[in-house]
Amino acid sequence: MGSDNLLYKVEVDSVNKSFYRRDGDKFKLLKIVEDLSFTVSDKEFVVIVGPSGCGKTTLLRLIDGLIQPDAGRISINGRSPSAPGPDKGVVFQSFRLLPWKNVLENIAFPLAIQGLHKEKRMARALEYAKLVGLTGFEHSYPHELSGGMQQRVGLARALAMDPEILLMDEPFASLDAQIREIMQLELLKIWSQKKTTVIFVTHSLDEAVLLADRIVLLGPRPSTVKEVIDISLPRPRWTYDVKSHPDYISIRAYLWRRIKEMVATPESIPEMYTEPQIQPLIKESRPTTSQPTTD
Amino acid sequence: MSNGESKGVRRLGANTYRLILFTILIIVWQIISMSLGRMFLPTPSGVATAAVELFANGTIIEATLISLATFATGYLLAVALAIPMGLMMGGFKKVGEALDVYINAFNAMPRIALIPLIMIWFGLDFQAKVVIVLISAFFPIVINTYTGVLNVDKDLLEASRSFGAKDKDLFLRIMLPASVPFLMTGLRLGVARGIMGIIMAEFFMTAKGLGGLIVTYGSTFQMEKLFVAVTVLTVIGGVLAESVKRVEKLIAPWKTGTIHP
Repeated sequence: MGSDNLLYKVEVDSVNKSFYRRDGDKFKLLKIVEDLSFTVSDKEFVVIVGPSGCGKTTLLRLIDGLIQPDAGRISINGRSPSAPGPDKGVVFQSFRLLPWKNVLENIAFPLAIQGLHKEKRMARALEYAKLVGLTGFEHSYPHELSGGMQQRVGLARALAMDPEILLMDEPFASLDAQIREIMQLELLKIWSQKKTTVIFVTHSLDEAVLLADRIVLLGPRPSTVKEVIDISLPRPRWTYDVKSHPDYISIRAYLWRRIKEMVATPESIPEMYTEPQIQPLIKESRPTTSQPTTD
Repeated sequence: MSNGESKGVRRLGANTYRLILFTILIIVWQIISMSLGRMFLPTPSGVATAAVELFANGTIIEATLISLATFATGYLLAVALAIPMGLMMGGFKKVGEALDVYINAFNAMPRIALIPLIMIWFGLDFQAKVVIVLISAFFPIVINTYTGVLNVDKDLLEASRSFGAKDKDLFLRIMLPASVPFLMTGLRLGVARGIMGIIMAEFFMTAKGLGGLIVTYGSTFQMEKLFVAVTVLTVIGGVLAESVKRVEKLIAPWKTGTIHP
């Protein structure tokens, strides 16, 4: 590990975060992440994987600056983020598009908040709508679009901010399997053009191995980094069948074994399968239907 | 678009059923009224004749215009007061918390209980009636506007904050537009309440307008004319509520159909 901060784009250093959780009429302190450290280099694609409920989303919100760590430090370009801002573009699992705005207006929305002139921001929105394959849908409203198209808007909106870091919180988890695979490949193509730093959270091991330069494997709550795995599968990965590559198969099998070990630790089971009723924080969006954990 | 076409076909079907039901009701009504006698229940044909007469001599038109003018004045005042108040209550948490209990209590109180007081304060005519419409229409609008601001999707707020939005942006760019469907529901309910208010006012205060006609015809047993006035009132209420609904669909097409009474 280098000692110079600027060696890394993002540095998460011994971060702790707890929430109060209601337990009957008492409030219990629930540790979400504990002593968690990892780094992300410039233009790197890092995927964070871990068992369900292990605090992956909390980690992204910490990096975004929406919440602050109780202890430890998160720095981006060597500076600690105090507030969210346009240097970080977030793509959410539940899309979070404004229902009263059309595709272009949604993509331009963060730019409008930053006060960019209307003509400029609409031109930028048009450019990014084209990039993510929304041509022909520029004036549609979110309720007229399929989930896959809605998430394209979500992706374009984050990219149009021209962020230094793209934070992606299980962005494809609520899409059906086919659309998800298409979106994964499109993301790889877009990333190869834009080359932003990406921190991507998922609980799909296939997605992790397909996308990542490095995988950060988290343990069950309270989360720490269990292992960091380099994925050296050749890029570009949309030109061949990655899933039949021998490295892919062995890495995926290894990851799956590690996750199974974690889940099988008897004392961790009751905690892991209870979704936290987190009190002081805005409701996190998770799908109500259960999601497949690994595939 | 094929979608629009199939909708059109369904619409036609619904209207056909409505027309069939209407015809059956008229026939049943005619049969019952003939056996009961016109002092008890006038016949549809008698009502139709009365309608022609009342429209021709201008009685109904004049009464309708009086009622509508009073209603419109009170309703617009209610809108002008209720929307800013509902937005204030939603935008400033403390204002909302301080006021919502009282608003709900007043809303639950029957407006008719205030009529003696309003007569003492505002007299018996236009002014007093406007006040009654105002307090009738005010509450559903303020409550729904407030609910709309409170019910804004928290995920959208967080997403916007993540894009760098400040409190002012959150209110103007998220909470305000997000509350529009609720606000429109409030406006629609306000129309119904306001019409109740104007008729009530015309019953209990100077007997003018459609409410005045209803009282006059009822107390003098002019059953056919009474039915004409009530029917006109029904149509006005329906048309007004439907117009607000149309506007609602036009400006809030994403609406998911939540209704808060």
